[in-house]
Amino acid sequence: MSPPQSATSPSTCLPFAQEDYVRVLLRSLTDMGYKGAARALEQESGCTLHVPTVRALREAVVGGHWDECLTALQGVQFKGEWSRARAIFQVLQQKYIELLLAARMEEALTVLHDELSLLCEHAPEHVESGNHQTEPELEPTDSTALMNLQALAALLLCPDEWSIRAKAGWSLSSSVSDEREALVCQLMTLMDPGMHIPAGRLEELVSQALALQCSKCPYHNTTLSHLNLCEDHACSLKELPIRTSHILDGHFGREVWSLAFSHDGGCLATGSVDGAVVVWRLQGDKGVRAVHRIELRAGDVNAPVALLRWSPDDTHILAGCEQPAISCCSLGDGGVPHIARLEGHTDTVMCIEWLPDSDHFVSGSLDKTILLWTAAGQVLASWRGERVTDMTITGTHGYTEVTAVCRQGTLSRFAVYPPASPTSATNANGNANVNGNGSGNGNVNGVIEELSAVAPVLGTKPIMGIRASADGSRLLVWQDTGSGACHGGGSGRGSSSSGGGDALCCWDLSDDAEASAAAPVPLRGFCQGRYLLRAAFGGHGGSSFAAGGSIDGSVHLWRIRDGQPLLRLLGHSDTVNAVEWSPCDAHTLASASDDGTVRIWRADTDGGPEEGSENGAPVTVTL
Amino acid sequence: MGRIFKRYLEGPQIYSCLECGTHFTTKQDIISENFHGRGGRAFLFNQAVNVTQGPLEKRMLITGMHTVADIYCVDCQSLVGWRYERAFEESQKYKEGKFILEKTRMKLGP
Repeated sequence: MSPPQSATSPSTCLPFAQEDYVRVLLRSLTDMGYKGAARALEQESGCTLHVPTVRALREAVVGGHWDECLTALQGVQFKGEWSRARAIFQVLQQKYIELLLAARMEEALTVLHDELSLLCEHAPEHVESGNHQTEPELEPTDSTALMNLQALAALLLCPDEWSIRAKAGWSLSSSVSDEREALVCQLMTLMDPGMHIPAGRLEELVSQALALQCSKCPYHNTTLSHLNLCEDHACSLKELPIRTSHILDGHFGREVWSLAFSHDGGCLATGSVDGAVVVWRLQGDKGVRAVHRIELRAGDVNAPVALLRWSPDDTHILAGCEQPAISCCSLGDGGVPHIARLEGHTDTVMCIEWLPDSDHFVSGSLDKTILLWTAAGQVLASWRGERVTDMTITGTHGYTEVTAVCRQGTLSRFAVYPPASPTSATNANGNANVNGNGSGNGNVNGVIEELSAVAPVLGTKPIMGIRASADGSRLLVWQDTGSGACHGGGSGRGSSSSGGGDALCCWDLSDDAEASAAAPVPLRGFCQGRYLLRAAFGGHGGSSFAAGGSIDGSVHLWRIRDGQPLLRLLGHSDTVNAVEWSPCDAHTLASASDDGTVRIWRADTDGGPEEGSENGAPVTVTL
Repeated sequence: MGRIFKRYLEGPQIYSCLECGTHFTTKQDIISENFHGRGGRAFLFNQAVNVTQGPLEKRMLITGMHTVADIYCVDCQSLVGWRYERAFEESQKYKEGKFILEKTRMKLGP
């Protein structure tokens, strides 16, 4: 076609032809309904949205002039010979079905005998190619033209219009012109890409450009749903939670070992060496206040709260206190929390995870068992094997998949089926369900079953802990590299062996084979010395960033995409034991430290200083 | 002191700290049972976990001059024995890098 005439001199060095660019603009204008503007653009530039032969084809199809349609098809470029034959077939098929619906049987038979069978005899072999779209067939199993011919012949036997429509795949209420429009769309997909511009092409290109900008954005943590088109998107450091907004002092200076946000993001539970759990309520602009202080210690027994887990409906908190018993605090109606001690294990409980139904949980212990419990404290099922030191939930489709650290050296996956779940008699491995309980009906008591070993091979360093992202696609693994004091100096004596290597790594567990076969992303700088510190995923999308504590009192932030360390947040004066992101707010982080305080970090974009703060200094909240 | 990371050992007979039960080593790792520590009988072990080491010092022991470092339980910091860093006599070189744990500071259990 003629080269476009542009009002101003065209800019060179762009990686696309100006003609294509104008046609994409025309498509966009037409889609948005600005027909006058589209016409004016066509006149000024000399480009048309539709190639003349395609326009002729379109008019012929819409008007039902089948012979002109077939001649127009000659002038159109298709993706290949098979596509051309397929296009002719579809036009003839439309003609045939319309004739049938109009009850012009003789003409329909002529079409079937002469035109369609002739076409099928000379049809080229169908070559499977990645570019071919698969169209909906009348016979879904086989795509050879001959089978379709038989299906079309079967339409002759249909008694009335409704059954013809049903068999042909036409909806019962669509008009002939709707079906013709649909045929035009199908023909468009068979054509060479240069022949037509698909609808929404400009919007698609812009969305891809924005996605690229987001992927390159260094601190991408924004909660905006619309991005600004006027400039390239790049989040600033202000999107990350770097400012301490509150210091929570509820444990009288005793070391705080554990931390957990409630699933609705409104409460924070902190557990300390003094055996107490303090529940704080985060009230947005109104600040933070302590709601409960729950003493879990029974008598003089030393019971540091090392583990805290909120149930998914936020009514219960389970606490592990380095003992065989699990403490369950019921927060139900806001009154005084009721504490129950759940006995079942014979050695220290190391890890607890709730199942998504809030009625069951699993616990792993040093006594080499994993137990499945009801929320009331009854043990339903057990698995016996290795000492379990940590576990995390890595999937919730059908059954709950739990990954556990066994013998501190290997990761094992378990499928947990709570009772009365609608699973069939075969379990995840495809074997008959015979494990875990005496009765023949495997689902009465629930089942814990070991699946095949996890793919990541972790070497020989002992695993200190694992944590999965909320969607189960990534796993943080931290290992004991044996290195003692790191930069900044640790407290106490150094450990005996000298080692090296990366302590904290992020593994990709998704189904994408290429991604999970790749090496783990090391998150450098994680400095745990001899302590058991925790790290967590968080941020935009649930797993954009990871945060971890350190023995020098700083909180480290890493970007997961490439493992780049971003920041060290300073503020605590002693080892930071646990760090958690808020599950609902990508801009809130909490950290618990041996200095007895818990700090809440917020992003600078969240309004001004908090109520009660002087000049933006952090607000100290006590019981 | 935060939450200490502890290794847990496997095996039928594990020696652990008398005070806090932290695992140190197993009966399979015994090299010799004929040693004496400050408090009584002591065993020479091939390896030990969950111990931290104090400063190195030269000490004259029954078997000669050695460079040793006292070792402490990571959890309760009680003194449990020492580790040979260097032996000055040829016949004692086999002890280098190995651990002495005193019987009175440990308990044996499953």
